[in-house]
Amino acid sequence: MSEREVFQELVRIAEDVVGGGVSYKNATMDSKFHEDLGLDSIAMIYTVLALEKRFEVRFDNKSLASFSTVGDIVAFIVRNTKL
Amino acid sequence: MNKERPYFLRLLNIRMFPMDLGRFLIGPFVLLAYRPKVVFVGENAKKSLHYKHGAILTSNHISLHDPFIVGTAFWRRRMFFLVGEFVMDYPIRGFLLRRAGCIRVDRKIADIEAMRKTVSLLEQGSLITIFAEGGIHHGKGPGPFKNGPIMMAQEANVPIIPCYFEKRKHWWNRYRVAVGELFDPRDELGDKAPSIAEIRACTEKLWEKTKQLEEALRK
Repeated sequence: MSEREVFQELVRIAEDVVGGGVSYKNATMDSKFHEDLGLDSIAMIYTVLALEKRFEVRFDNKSLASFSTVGDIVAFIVRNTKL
Repeated sequence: MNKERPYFLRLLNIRMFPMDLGRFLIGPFVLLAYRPKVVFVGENAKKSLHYKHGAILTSNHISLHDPFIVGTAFWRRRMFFLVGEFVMDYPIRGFLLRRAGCIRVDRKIADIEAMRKTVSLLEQGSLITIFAEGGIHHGKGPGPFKNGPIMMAQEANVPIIPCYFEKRKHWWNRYRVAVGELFDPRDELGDKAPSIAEIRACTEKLWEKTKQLEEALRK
């Protein structure tokens, strides 16, 4: 899968997770989860669980702690997805 | 998929021996010290105490004695606890607490490993206590709840047992522990994956149930 496809899917999943009609159409690869997207730790875990199901990847605490931007998580998924 | 093993097989789990030994040796003394009196709030609240399948027990958190109070009120069952990293990150204490059934959760990060371990234990039929305020709360009544319990219950498809207790006036008084009816997040959220907004709304309902327990204790 290309980075672009993963990015679009990630944004869609994050919007579904947060709910309440939230839109991340201005999100970029450099957007930060907490500061720019407003995802707290619970929303982050929920997003990650949805990403695991969608892309057949597995995250751990170490990899999660190393992500600071959307681009980091997209690169991780592209590297590790079994799709 | 239901991963829950029959109740008697769970009872005979050899890996739980250190935990059971601890409960057997320390339990009677703790029971004598706290002598919790369980107050059932609601017609079917007694079912909560005798529930044998995977469940999350949510409670308020007023002091470091709380795990013992909740543990003795529900002495019939093995109980696991979600415990913050600041309590667990000591070599000997951490080892003993892990043996006693504590699951380390790092509150500073999105701790997906603690989440996975908790959900796995729930699916196997365990009872896990979560102090839903996320730390000790000294104010009157239950403090605001975190969203974690609802999220984990939804993920593992298990109900929640709401519980509330207050400080006793004197050391010789019994603790009164209010136990409510089983609260199933799926009744509120359905089977679909809920959004965080929906989980927050469900957490609010759980808080209201706990508030009712507090009011029942005051009557």
